[in-house]
Order: sequence, then structure tokens, then C-alpha cells
Amino acid sequence: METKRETKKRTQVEEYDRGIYDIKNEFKYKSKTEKGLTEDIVRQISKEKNEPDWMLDIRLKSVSKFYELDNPTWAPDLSDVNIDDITTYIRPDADLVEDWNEVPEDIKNTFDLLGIPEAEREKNLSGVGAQYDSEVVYHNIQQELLDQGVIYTDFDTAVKEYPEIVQEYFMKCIPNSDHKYAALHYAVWSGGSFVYVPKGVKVDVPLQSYFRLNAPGAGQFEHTLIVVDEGAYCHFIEGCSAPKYNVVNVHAGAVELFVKEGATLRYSTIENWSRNMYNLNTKRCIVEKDGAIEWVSGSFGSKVSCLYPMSILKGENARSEFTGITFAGKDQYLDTGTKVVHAAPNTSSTVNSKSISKDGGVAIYRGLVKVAKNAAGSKSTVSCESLMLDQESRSDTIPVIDIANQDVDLGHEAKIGRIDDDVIFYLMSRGISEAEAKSMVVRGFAEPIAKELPLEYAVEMNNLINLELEGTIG
Amino acid sequence: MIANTLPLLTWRWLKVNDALIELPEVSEQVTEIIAKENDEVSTLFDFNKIENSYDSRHMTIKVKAEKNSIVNLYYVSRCIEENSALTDIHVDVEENATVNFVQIESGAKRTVTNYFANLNGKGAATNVDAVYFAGGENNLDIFYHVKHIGEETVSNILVNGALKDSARKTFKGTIDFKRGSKGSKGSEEEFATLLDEDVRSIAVPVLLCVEDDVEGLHAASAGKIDQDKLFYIMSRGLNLEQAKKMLVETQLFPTINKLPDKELVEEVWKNIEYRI
Repeated sequence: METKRETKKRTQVEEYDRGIYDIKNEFKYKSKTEKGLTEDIVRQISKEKNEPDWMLDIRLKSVSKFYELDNPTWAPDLSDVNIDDITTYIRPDADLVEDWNEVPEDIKNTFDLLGIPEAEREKNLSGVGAQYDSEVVYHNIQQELLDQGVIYTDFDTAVKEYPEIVQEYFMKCIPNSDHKYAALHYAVWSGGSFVYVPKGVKVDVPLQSYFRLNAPGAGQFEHTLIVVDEGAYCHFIEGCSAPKYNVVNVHAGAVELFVKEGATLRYSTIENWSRNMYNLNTKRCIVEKDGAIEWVSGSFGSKVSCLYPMSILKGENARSEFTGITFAGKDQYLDTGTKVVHAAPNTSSTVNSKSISKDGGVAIYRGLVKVAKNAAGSKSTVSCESLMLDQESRSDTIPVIDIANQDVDLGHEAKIGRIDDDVIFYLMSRGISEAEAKSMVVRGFAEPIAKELPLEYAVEMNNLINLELEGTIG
Repeated sequence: MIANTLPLLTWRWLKVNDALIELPEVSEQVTEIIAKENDEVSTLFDFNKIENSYDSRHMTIKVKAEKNSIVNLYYVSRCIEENSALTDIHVDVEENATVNFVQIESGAKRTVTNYFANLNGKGAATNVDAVYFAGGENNLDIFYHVKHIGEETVSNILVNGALKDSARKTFKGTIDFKRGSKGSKGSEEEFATLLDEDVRSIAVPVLLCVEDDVEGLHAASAGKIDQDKLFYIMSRGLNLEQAKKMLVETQLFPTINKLPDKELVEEVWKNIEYRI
């Protein structure tokens, strides 16, 4: 009996159980827009939110921009993303509250199973935002942070309560002309987080926002804006997931980060969208003098991903670190990477990117290191490693290194290969099964990323890796 | 005209997907080199003077290396009066054959050299050893696309170069492992020394892979001359110019020295040394 079940598990590669991530709640909502993207739909969203005119104006201009721009020619095939089939706004049947007990039960259960309230309770997080479909349903921040002047709210509230600061920064990092899905984002954005950390304040315990898309055929377009003022520190964690449907879902969020002089921001993401999701997120950070941005990124989900966190090192001595892992399984096309622009003297960057592909999955590393003419004394190191677990998959690396200043020290290396047979043989000779041995090697491969995450998220990442490897034909 | 296109496109705003060249109406010269089974063939192309009134050339070299053969292809482009030079080299390598390509680029104001190698047979190999030196406002494009098709095929690409004045270089090297190329190994390294402030160095080392049982690696680095080494040599009594030349020689000479004719080696190096 046991053997039969085991065998079935090993060969069942097409559809595996993603457990809690695939829980589907009944599709209930207070209001939603019609499918598609028109000026009327955008006006309806703006009216729902009771927004100021300047925000509606940006939305309307972005609608035109979306229809002007084409899909990129270099990217994965996005022809299945038909905006006329997507519902861009769904207000869940829940209001924004600060107490988990006031969140409707089915929504609360989902977040319970994802471990969010528990993490907050045990003081592993100093603030939490939880978004369900198009709106934030829960937001809370520890009092001691509030007392220090830290602002952490949902973005809709920020637009109303902090308009000066939002107007100063909104769309200044990622313009709506950046690409077609940035334009889409600015037309229909909803939800997301706003964080402001005042000068000198160190937020040692992470803040987290979790985005859950429950509705089929919908999109999530959250906007995250973080400003870390001079000398401050913040660690922000973003989590996202959705259950799988047979229709296309789209994620076209935007993350705009501003790191001021001498400040440091760590931005960690574990992305586990479902296999019908097109993840077309845009993340960008502008770093001022002596500032630092640390990206930690784990991409496991979605059908198609185009994700390239970008750092613009605008001030002297600014620094960027990127650590990321991408795991492309069956029917996944994950095109990820990072871009760094050295736009000031003595800036430095490191990129450590790993990718794994199996069962016909496609993992692409797409990168850029650009050193501008005025960026004398810049240093950059890039390391990309790709692991292929079988010969059905694909793994490509296309980095671009563009240097316009002689006074630079830059090194780039990339490797592609498979799990060493000698290593598997050795582990099996120690009594470990072949499947577990491969699992260990893959977890070891992902270890540099796991150790950058807080423990609970490293555990989640390892669980995701195990989930991906279940059913791998040995 | 478009002289080459990346096999995998990237962001358009970087302007590296295509290489463009303006060529006047020069006729394309085509040369075929065939090495029969077990043969060894060596051919030298040395472009050191203007051949026609247009100061430009368009050349195609087709190489076929049959089973167990060796082809040594030496290519020297050192005519600095040339305006534009486009060279396409197409190489087919069969079972256990090897094509060695030694490439020296220190010539035309606008150069595009494309090297396409198909490693078709089991054990086929190609070794590319290239050196470039660009000064003035020269614009150099070096493009490689090595396809590993057969099993246990091997490629080694080593490119060393130096840029001076306002020169610009774009290096695009692709190692492409096709399905079925089990046991293959591909490596690609590019080192650029940047001698002046206004140079522009672009490198796009691409690795494409649809076969798991392979080893692929690439490395690229760029920077100015090692200051510690410069200091050390100057502390031994050489002036700055002499020290720079010595360090660039260390980087470039080993490849130049692979040319079959010792007089040619001296001429090529002297020409570059004078321009440093």
C-alpha cells in the first residue's frame, strides 16, 4: 500500500498539491469593475477610493499610455494576457481593520494558514499589512514604532493622509512610460503599502506585507512606496500567493523605494504565485549618498515572470546587493534578473543569482550592470549559477555589462551545469535515498539565499523547494 | 545594415541586440577552407593595407573541418586606414575535428567580425584566442555564436583586449548547448583593459542551455591597468609609458605570439605598442 502511494507520488509531476497556497475561498466581493481597461473603469476605481483629482489624472493618462505601448519583443510570450478578460478591481467583502478578530472568517483563515497572524503575534514582525484581492483588509504596526514617527499604512490611506509626501515620491522612480505593464499598473493600481522611516530610526524587526489574490481571472496591482530617511534602517518583507485557476491572472504591481543618505533598506520577497499567473512586477530603488539597498528575492511561482529589481546608485558610495533564487518547474517560464546602474563615483554592487530548472521549466537570468561616465571608482561583482535537473528544461543567461568609465573594477562570472553524479553517489553511499540526496544538493545550492532571510521565511523557502522537488523522477 | 543579432534578445534601450555597419558598395569576397579527414590545414588572413578605393571590405570565410581534421585559422586585421570591415566566419566541425581560430583586431575604424561555429560531430572542438586593440574613435564589434550540437564537444574562447582614447568595443559571445550535446564543455572569458577615460566597453556573454549534462561557464572583467603592478614596475626604473606598455604586452602578446610567422608577430605587436 505504502509502496504504491510512494510510486504514484514520484511520477505525478504535472499537478502537485501546493497545500495551503491552493486554498480557494468562495469568490465574494462588495464591488468589482467590469473586465477590461477603459476610462470608465478607471473612473469607477478612483471613485470607489474617493481619491483626489491628481491621482485620477495620473490613472487616465496611464490608460492611454497602456494602449500606445506594445508588448516587449525580447520577453516571454505575453499574448495570452488579454486585458479584456481581466477584472482589474475587486473590493473584497471586508473592511480595513487593525484587529485580526474583525477580519471575516474565511479571509482570516487563509492568512492563518499562511502563518501571518502567528508571525506577528510572536513578535517576529513589527508591522503587518494583508491584502486580499484589490484591497488591504488588515494593517497594524507596533506602538513603539508609531511613537518614533514610523509610518506604515496601506497605500490608499497614505494618498489621503500624507498627500505631500506621496506626491513627492509617487511615480518618480518608475514612470508610467517604463513599459506596457507599468502603464497598466498606474491606471488601475489598488492597495499596497506605504512606509516612511524618519531620520536615524532603526526598525530592527521586519515589517511585512502579504498579497493574496483569491479571485479567478483577476489582477493584482498593489503599489508599494518606501522612503527610508537619512541614517535610518528598515527590513521589509513582501509575500505573495494565489490559488491556481484555469484562467489567466495578472500581477502588475510596482515597488518604488527611496533610500536617503546613509540609510539602509533590506527588501525581501518570497513569491509563490500560482501557475496561471503572469507576474509582471516592476521594482526599483534609488539610493542616495552612502545609502544601501539589499534585495533578497525568491521566485517559485507564476506561469510567466518578468521580474528585474533595479538599483540606481545615484549618490556617491551608494551600494546595492542582490541575492536571488528562481526555481522554474513544469510549464513555468521565469525570466528574472537584476539591473544596477552606477551613476555616481565609488559606488559598489554585488549580484548573487541562482536558478534551478526542471520538468521543462525555463529559467532565464537577464541582467545589466551599467557604469556611467561619472561613476569613477565603481566596483561590481556578479555571479550567476544555474542548475538543471533534467534535459527537458532550459536555462539561459544574458547579462549585459556596459562601462563608460576607465576607473572601474568589474568582474562577472556565470556557470551552468547539473548535479554532480559523484556527490549523489557519495550521499547514497551514506544511506540517503537518491531523491533526498538531490533535495539536499538543491537546498545547499539555495543556501546563500536562505541565510539572508529571517528564519521563518528560510523555512518557507526550503518547504517550497521540497514541494517543487516532490514527484521529480529520480 | 544589420551585421549581427543576438540569439536571445535583451532590453532594447541597451542597443546591443543588433550590430549595425555602413558598408559602401564593395563586393563580398568569399573564401572556402576544407580540411579533409585527418588533414591539418593552416590559413592566414592578414589585412594590412587598403585593397580597393572604398577603404572597406566585406569578407566571408567558410570553414569545413571533416572527421579528425585540424584547421588553424589565423586572422589579422591591422590596417588602421580602413574605414569599415565586416567579416563573417562560418565554421562546421565534424567528429573529433578541431578548429583553432586566432584573431587579432587592431584595424578598421568600424569593424564587425562574426564567428559562427557548429560543433556537429562527437568530440568536435573549437578554440578561439582573440586579441583586440582599439584607439581613436574606433568602434569594434566582436560576435561569437558557438553551437554545441554533438556529444562531448568542447569550446574555449579567450578574448583579451585594450581600449584607448574614445574607442568603443562590444563583445557578444554566445555558448549554446543544444539538446543532445551530452558531456560537452564550453568556456568563455573576456578581459578588457581600459586605458583612457572616454572609452566604452560593452560585454554580453550569453549562455544558452537545453541540455543538463554539460558544463558551461563564462567570465568577463574590465578595469584599468592594475595600479599595484604599475607601481612595482615603475619602482624598477621604468617610466609610466613604458610600464603601461609592458603590462598591456603581458596581456596581449601570448595570443599574438600564436601567429605562425615570427616577423608578423613582431610587426603586429610593434604596431599596437606604438599606439598605446
